[in-house]
Amino acid sequence: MPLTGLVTGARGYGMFGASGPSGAYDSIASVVVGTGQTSVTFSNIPQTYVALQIRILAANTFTAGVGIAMRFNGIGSGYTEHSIQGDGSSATAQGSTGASNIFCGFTANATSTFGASIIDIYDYASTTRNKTVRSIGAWDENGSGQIRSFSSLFNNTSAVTSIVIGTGDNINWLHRTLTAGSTFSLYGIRSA
Amino acid sequence: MALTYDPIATTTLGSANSTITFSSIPGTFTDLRLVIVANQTGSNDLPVIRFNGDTGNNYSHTHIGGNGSAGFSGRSSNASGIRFMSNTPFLTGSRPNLTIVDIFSYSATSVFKSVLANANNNDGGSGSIWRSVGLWRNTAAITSVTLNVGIETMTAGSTATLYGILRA
Repeated sequence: MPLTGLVTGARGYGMFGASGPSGAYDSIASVVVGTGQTSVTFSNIPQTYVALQIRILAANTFTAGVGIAMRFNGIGSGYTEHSIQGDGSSATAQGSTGASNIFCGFTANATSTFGASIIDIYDYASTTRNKTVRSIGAWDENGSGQIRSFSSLFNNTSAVTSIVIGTGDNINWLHRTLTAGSTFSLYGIRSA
Repeated sequence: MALTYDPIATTTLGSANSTITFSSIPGTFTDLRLVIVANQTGSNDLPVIRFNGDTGNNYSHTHIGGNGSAGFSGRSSNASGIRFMSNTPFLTGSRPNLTIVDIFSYSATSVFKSVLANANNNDGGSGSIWRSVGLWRNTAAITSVTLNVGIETMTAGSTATLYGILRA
């Protein structure tokens, strides 16, 4: 399957095709961040899957625990989030409505240490349903860390054709620099 | 040509054992996913995952969970393995624990290894949900993965399947 719409530091495979035979779980695009970037963009996302997954291994150059946020179709409004978080000593619950981004993951900051996040976007190609997102993001630096499980809503029935993802949370947007070598990988999941 | 999501190996215990090990893991994927369906014989030890046979204090984790009445969070530092599930309740018979462990950039040699674990168990009247992030402070490529439940054992019939995930 041909890749379309890779930008900013993307690297392809052969003729920018997917990494293997098409199946239920396809690799669509992958970006390895260069120096000085705050975000990654996936555009012209194929509308042929039932769900998308983004797998992230990322750090930032500022401090541990800087969040990861995303926007769909360049839209900076209409997002709602509920989450639970553990910081190693207490479990807490949070929520926000009317946010400008989906807060969906975390970055780390210590040497050689990256935060991990997995984001699932369901029915992204639907034009009749709002978009539900499930994600988990976390970082651990041997004595400090956070883990947060998110449930989010993009209150918009437009099909998702592009995603910008980078540093941020439900208040901040692209406010810190990603560490070079951070990776963002987009996968498509098919139905039967 | 490698698939994007490819089963590498499956182990099903023929008899009770405290460990399951996957070795000689090919370095051709981006991430690994371990899917574990298992029962344990007791709750008197802490289940951990280790890499490349490293039993040194080179691991850490942070977790969040719920047990049906309260949420909890904790961590370990300079530990001898990454906690990947709660040790209670221990499950018997036909009610196994379901755990999924994601290991990111396992074959990279420039980063410490990050892990996300998602463990779920329910014994009808008790249960827990567990989510954790773990770190192995070693930049070596991971070539083996060991699940270890310590002084307890995983029962016969417990299974673990290792998958490789390949990005574009």
